[in-house]
Amino acid sequence: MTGAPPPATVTVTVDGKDVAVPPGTLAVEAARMAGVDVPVFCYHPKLSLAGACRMCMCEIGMASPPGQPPRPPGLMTACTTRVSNGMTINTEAPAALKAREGVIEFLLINHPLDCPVCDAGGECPLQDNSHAWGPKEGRFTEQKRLARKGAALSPLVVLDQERCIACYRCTRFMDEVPGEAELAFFSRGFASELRTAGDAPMKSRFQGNIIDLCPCGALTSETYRFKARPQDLDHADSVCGLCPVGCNVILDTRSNQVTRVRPRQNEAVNEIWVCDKGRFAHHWSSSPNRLSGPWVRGADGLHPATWRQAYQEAARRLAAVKAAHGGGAIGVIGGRNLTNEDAHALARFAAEVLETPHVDFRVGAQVAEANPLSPFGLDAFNTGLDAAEKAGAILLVGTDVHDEVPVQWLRIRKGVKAGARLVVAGPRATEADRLAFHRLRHRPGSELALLVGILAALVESPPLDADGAPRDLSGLAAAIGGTGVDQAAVHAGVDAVTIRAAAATLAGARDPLVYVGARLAIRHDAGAIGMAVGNLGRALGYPARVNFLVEGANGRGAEWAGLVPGPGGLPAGHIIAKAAAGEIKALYVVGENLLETHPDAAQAREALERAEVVIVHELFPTVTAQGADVVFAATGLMEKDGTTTSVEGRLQRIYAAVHPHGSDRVPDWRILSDLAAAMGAGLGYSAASEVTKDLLADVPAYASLEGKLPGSAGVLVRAVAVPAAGGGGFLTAPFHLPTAPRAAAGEGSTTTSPGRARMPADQREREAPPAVPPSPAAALGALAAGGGALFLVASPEIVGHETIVAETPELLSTVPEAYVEVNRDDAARLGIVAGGLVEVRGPAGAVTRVARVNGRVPSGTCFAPENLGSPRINAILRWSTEVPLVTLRPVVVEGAEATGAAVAGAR
Amino acid sequence: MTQAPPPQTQVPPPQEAPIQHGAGQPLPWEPVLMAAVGRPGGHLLADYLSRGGYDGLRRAVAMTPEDVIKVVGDSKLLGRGGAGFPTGVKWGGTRRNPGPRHLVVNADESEPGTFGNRYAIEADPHGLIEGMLICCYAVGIRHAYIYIRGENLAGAEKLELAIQEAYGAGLLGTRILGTDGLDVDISVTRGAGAYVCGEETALMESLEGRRAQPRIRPPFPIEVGGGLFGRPTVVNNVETLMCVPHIMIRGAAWFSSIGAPACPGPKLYTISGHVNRPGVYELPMGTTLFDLIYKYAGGMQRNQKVKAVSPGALACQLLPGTDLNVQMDTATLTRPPHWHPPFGPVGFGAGGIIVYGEETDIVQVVARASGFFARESCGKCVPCREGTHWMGDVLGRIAHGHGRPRDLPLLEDVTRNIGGRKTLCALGDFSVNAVASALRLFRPEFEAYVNGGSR
Repeated sequence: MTGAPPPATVTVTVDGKDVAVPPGTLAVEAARMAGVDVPVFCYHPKLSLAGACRMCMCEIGMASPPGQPPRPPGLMTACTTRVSNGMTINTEAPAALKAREGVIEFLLINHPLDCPVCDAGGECPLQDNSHAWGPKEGRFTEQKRLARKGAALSPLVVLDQERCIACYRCTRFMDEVPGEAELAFFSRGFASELRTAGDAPMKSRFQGNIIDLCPCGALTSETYRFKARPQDLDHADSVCGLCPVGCNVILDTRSNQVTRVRPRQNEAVNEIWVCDKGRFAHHWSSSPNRLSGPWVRGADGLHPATWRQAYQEAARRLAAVKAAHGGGAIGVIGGRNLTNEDAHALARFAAEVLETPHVDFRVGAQVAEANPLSPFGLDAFNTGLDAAEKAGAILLVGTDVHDEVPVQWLRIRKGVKAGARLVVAGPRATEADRLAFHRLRHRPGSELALLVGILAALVESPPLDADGAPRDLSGLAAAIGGTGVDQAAVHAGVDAVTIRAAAATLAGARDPLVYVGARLAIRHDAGAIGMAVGNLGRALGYPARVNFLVEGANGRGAEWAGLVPGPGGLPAGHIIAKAAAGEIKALYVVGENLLETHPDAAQAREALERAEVVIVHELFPTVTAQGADVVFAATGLMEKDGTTTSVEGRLQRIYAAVHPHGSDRVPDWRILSDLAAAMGAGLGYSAASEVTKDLLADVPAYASLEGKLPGSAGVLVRAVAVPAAGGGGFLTAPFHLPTAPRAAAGEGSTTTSPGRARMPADQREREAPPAVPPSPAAALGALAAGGGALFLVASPEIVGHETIVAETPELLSTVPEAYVEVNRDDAARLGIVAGGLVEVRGPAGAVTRVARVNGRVPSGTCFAPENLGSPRINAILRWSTEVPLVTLRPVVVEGAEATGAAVAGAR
Repeated sequence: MTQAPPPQTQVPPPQEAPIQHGAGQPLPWEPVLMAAVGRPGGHLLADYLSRGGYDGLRRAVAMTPEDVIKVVGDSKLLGRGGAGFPTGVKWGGTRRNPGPRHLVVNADESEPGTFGNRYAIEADPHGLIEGMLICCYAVGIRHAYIYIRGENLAGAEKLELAIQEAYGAGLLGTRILGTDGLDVDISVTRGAGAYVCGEETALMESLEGRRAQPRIRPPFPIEVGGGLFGRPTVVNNVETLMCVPHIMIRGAAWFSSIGAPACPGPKLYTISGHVNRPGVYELPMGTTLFDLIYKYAGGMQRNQKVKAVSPGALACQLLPGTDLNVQMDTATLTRPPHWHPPFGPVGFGAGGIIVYGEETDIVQVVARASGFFARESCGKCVPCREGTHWMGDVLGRIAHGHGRPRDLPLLEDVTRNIGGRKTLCALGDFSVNAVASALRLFRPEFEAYVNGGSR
């Protein structure tokens, strides 16, 4: 695998100045290294080369071979010419200037020059380059092209075809970066126009990036259109607060309101991209629906109060519970979307003022330990996000990366395009399956069995060490209790052949990488899964390339700040359960709409109702806030200074873009500090910087910073010193593979899991006869007495019906109607039609959903997004360690019109 | 590598009894590329075999692939599509790059006034298939593609029939002629009516199922990443490949002795315009324009004088009617004095000669030509997309009598902003040739238009 020795540099001359650049550098980049900016339109460092605009014409001369007469330099496009030794690049040769002037004149022929009413005016490469390189006046007097103006490519992006200069940046982006080829040029030549296939609205969740890429104002943002001019805007560097990737953004504000969000370049985090949720979902900040001040519950319900009243009331109530039952009767939940400063203040408040160990940011968590990899001396996340770019293989378990960490999905795609083999394990098809080298479609909830299966396959045929000898994995064999691949395969419901193939792919890969979904880190078997994942890293010889994702924009920061159960403390799921049972007497909820996010809505409601005291910090009057005794109106992430820590452990600064002066909202850390004072304890904070100072001093992860805050790129820190690559023993976990479900009589013999059906007969024979059929459908036979019961898989979609999304109607309009995804075989059996309404009945009730009938879920399983619909899917679920079973029944709608509406809604 | 040269057939002596095929004067030798023209069933395999068909392939497979490439190189065969690249060099270069490799036959002959390939394909499809097979053997190619102009339905049908026949006779498929490793499949793809698909990289984009737009070079088609489906690819013109079986049979020396020494061989000249006998003529490369017009094409209609000639149809610069002694071949027309900065060579193209008589209104000619390029620009690069359209608009206006004196310097400047290697592919570069050369040669006619409407 070792390539040629590191290449020497080549020397090129840019405008008379020598510069040494790596071989293969493009002339335009070489010029940039020499400090010369060659104007470009179609060229973009993140996209493939087009050579379309011809703006970057330079006079480029090649060194002639020795003994031959010098060749005259010629015009070439700097963006497609790679440097060679002795090359001369004259960026301002008369011929180049003439060509560039010609290009600008050509471009402006059909450009409407409506800069005064164009959003791009003032920040437009076409405008800038026209001023810098264009002719003094155009000579075109013929009829300009007329084309579509203000045409919606989607509810979010607007096209002005007349402005378009056809640089193909947008189409290349869609094809290459998210891999969603929704845009293309139609017609030829002068008549070329940008359209979507069938003129259907674009659906990509990354489409907003084409607005940034567009160099001429042809693509503008529906939400920002006509809202401001660049010179009107103030800017604040910030970090997106909507998922744990921590994309760097710039918040542009006008009159103290955020008018748009732009990505800020950070090659280690988001490069230059941001997803549509991060870009468009910012209108919550200026929403009139926000809580404008604190509320206190009186005899007649919640009513607005002064901060003094609110603090006194909360202090009185909390003190009463503490006095009567002790601090252990108080549960603190939330904190995954706060700044580190808020989280630190909350952790101190819980420990020092409330004196309770029952603190947890991980809603629904069933285990107290927040880091499943702690037995291995690892952090939950151990590689940089950019490691995905150069991995040889990537294993995804229990995560829909496109929806969970959207921009990281783009990085994974980049890695796969560079040669990484993607192994996707999950109970249903996700976006990642499109690029998967192996798909491991396992039974819901059987991730542990699957991981043990992969470990067993590695024991069978161990990876080779550097010297070519098979690695000694006898310790691993013992660690998994001698479980065989076939045995684990039966439990996981996956072909043993596929598991072996996936294991071989991982074993043979350089720098393999493992991503495990955040939900698997809080589930009842998280400890065992952590053991399996840690062992997998060690078995592959890359012990520190295993990673658990986390939920919440600042989940990692909350974890490190100590918003996790202390000694004897309960995880969040148990706090709610105990509160519902009356054992926890007071709930302190920070920025968490438990009724929608706790996996059991009825239990959450019971908990809020039975608790004697409920204190809530919120942005909006959510259903949870409405059940509280005291509600504090907090500021959001765009409205405060501080720091956040992304999933990879990158500490990043954020600066307030919107200042809450004049409003009656306060940062969480200040609420906590003032409430503590009201309770007679006092955290003693009066500025965010004071909390930051304490945070850096108190939290071990940040000790390496020695009190210094990072610059604009943030700094990657680790809570645990990551060990160097190497072996290390294998840890034995209490692997309790779930009891293998028994096959229903009659179903076992007729099972046809898709994987098996395609397998050649000889392979089928070689496979050991499974104890039970590996098909989930067959396994369900026993569980689903009477038929119709399906396993329910639920996870959040990237954009759902969350409160903050609802404040951006354009984005909300792209959210699909709440649906349930059913396999077409099950649908046929149950009489469900695509687009029809379905009653989904679970252990705690029923909701109505639109049916999506396809092959993305295997037979025996259905999928419903967690964050869609009212009520949410958690309304029908019980908080449990079991994978929920639901029954589906088509809803008979009165009248054909209603059915038609349902069909239309589902599309 | 230093084997004895392959056995060569004696160069056929010039025929005493001339073969006529629509020409005014007897041709100087027995045609090879158009031997099947006029033979009933000449396109069928049986007829082809009776003419010694596939003997070239038999000769080739008896040699090593390297030797085949050497023979083709020694023949000094230059590509007939217009660029005039040495075929042996192209094959050898492709063979040096790792497989799998592909062969693409550019049969998208769309240039106005050029129809030699069409005649050749319809008359002698097996000649093309044999040439392709020799190329596949020499370069090591498994899959070959013919991209044929969509409008040439008859040619596509003849090719399909011929391919079927060849499969039936074991001349396509696996172990062709019992040769181990010579497995070739050929498929025919019809274009959808875009001139730009004659550009080899746009053709490959189209063949791959994408929007037909040229690619950036390098990487070149013969290189990894530059060819069809990213694999090293030989892209050859129909006529080029049809020369190859004859080279194999009669030898490189025979071929290189024909016509112009720098670019020898038989050539299918297409003559149209104001000549008495327009058509396709197979003649030695380097035949003079005078001979072509007056000896073979029957002279000018109504005995008018030649005003101008487009030597390679619309994409080339105009030759003045006073310049009839020029040899019509790639080498002559791409060197001084046929070189006009910044636009470069007059160009020979694929040999589609359009002759304009003295009654021709040159302004109308270039207005038409300009409109053609405006319609056919693919739209990828700016100067071609916007510039051809602008020129078309201005020339259309002038031709309709609404010209202004300032339009002429404008046109000249616009042609300089498009031409001179400023565009992504040759379409844009060549789109200005007719206009720029007409403005240089026939300026008074333009001035008459812009100063007082049409004459």
